[in-house]
Amino acid sequence: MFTTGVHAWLHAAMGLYAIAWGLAVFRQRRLGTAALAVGFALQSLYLVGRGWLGGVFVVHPVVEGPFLLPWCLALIAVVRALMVPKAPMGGLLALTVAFCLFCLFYSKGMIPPSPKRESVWATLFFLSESMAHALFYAAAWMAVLSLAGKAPAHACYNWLVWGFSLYTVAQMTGALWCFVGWGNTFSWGSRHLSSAAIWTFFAATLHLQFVPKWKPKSAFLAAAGGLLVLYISYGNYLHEMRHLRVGG
Amino acid sequence: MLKSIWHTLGDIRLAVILLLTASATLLAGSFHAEDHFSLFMALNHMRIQDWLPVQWASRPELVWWIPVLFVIMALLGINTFVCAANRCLRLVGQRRNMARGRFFYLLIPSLVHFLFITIMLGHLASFTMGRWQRIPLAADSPIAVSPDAPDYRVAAIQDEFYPQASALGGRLRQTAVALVGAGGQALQLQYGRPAFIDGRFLLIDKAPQGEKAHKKPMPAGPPPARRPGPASTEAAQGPNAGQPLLVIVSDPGLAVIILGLTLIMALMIGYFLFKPKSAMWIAPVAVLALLVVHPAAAAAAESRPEELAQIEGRIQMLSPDPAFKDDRYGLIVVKEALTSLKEGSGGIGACLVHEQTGEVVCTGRNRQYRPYFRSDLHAEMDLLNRYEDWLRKMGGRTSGADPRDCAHLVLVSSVEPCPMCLTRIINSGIKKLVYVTPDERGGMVSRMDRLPPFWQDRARDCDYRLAVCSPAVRQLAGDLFDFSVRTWDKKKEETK
Repeated sequence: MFTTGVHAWLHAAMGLYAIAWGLAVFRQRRLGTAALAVGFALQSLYLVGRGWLGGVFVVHPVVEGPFLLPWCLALIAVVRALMVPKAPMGGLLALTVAFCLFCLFYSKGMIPPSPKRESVWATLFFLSESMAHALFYAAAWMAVLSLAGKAPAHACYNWLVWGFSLYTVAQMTGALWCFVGWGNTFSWGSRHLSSAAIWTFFAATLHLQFVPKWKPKSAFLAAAGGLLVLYISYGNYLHEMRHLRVGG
Repeated sequence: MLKSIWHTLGDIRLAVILLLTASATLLAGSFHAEDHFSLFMALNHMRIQDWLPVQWASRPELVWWIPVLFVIMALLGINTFVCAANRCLRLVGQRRNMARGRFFYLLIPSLVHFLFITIMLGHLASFTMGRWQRIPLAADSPIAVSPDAPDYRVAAIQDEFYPQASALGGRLRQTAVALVGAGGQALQLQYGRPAFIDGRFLLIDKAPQGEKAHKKPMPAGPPPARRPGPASTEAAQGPNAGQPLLVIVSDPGLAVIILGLTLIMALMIGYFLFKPKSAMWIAPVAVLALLVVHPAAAAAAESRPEELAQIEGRIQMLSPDPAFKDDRYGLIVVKEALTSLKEGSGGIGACLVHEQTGEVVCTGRNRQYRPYFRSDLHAEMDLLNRYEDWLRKMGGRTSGADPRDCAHLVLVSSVEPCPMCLTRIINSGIKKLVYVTPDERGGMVSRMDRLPPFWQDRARDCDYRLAVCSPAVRQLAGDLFDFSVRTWDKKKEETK
């Protein structure tokens, strides 16, 4: 069942996300939530199916960034729809659809995993990092709405706090993975340095909240942070497109 | 002068600037590391003081950002220390006015900042004192972990491959390296699963340039023999691409980093657990499970009616605890606070109690927003207005000579009074005041030393302190107040 045919589920999930987005725009909340939930279930199956792309289950393709990120955004949207039924969902769903669209054009095969990538710390790292990225994108979206005057001035703050907390978890799990794999808790490589750059950037954005005169600028920084995450993470993903893949 | 320097060093604006500069420097460094991979990867297995001077002399344009980063991080460490220390000192100064639990709760963010400094110091120790020895692995070769530990011998190197039938067929899945000590003790290493011997970590890595050596499937049967010979000879020759290497790591910063990270996680969890006021309790679960649901804080803020109903339920279940002498009045003011919240004003209540008889003379509550906006109608102000109006109707105070003769009254407030209310209370002649929960942000009782001298003088013989209440009542008072503060913050944002 979990073969390369599983890619159809990604297409179906994306279609359902797009329908959910349209329904949210036209304020059909219940139908929209239902479409979102079904899309999310299909994408979850798709992600599990990615583990079998090579004919034997490996974890890394399940948590591969470009495919996990829209799932994280959809998860956030599902939980938000269930916990705050009246909350506006258009922005989150638009982001989910946009990132899903990228998956459609991305190499769908799996990069043959090295033994080190199968570490539990690697899995935890990719999970927490993708979820943090999703929250940063949501924060950036809210910040853009704030700057446009369509959302409260500090609407992005909660998203930033959660994103930053999870990104800190990602730094911790990443450090442990780096140590058990390579013998260093900090690597002087591009990946680790850019990750630290994102962490310090958002730390600055959060500290801005405590400077009353500078606080109004935090929406600018949150939006810029979203772009920084996009540039760094999708720069890596595009680079990884050149890697040898199997099962796509 | 020194005070001014101290405050400048701890200024949070400096923290923002340093963090942004660090981010820009790290980003610049990541570009250099991307373009000169081998150059910077060498630093992962060398002490920085051995690597940097050599590279600085030959190509400063590539490595300039490393000393800059160290300077920024040093300044950030100082800034963080001063800022967190200032906050701790402030909290310790207010310690007597707050419950122990709340004191530790408020202390957690500062502790997290101290731990951040500790982790940075741990990294510094790793960069300057760490040692990484890389030895190509070969069957039967001896391994000297340290001068004090007995030698080990590589007993077997067993590669495991993905099944031939799969698309990954023939690719390396795992390598198991068996080491046997002189005393017969056995150790097994795998990729990602290090061992710890004599203060050193042993792990297996792979010689750079991919896994070319492993692309062909190994024949079934006993593990293939690898080139024999002493490890030192092989090291001198250099490992083949893809060949497994034994990495012996001696990293004095590791324990500090791991301990710091663990404590930060524990404190973060504790911070959320200490605050059972909202759906924030989801946080530790989410952090631990690493399956984060959507910002529960936002959700909690928007599920206000449910939260209020929950608080009301808790109040109804509660009865005063006789072990705490102010509990009875604490519960009265908490109920007043709830009424105020339900009316649409702030969650603060107050009452006046006759000290000798224990009779509640008058009650008041926050009426700032209902029936219409009155900026002065905080709970204590409302209480004193009502009491003084009632007094006028009753023909004035018992002592006509002194309109402030109310030494027999105790004012009980659910929250620490603000500056406006505190001066009004002092002015009213009330000598005894107790409040159920402190207000770190807006309370003035804990900052009486900052009142103008006139008011300090007037309050000299007054007894204003935290009420002796049960933790349940104190928690309720805090919850009601926090609820109204969050509502107010949200309204303010919406208005903007």
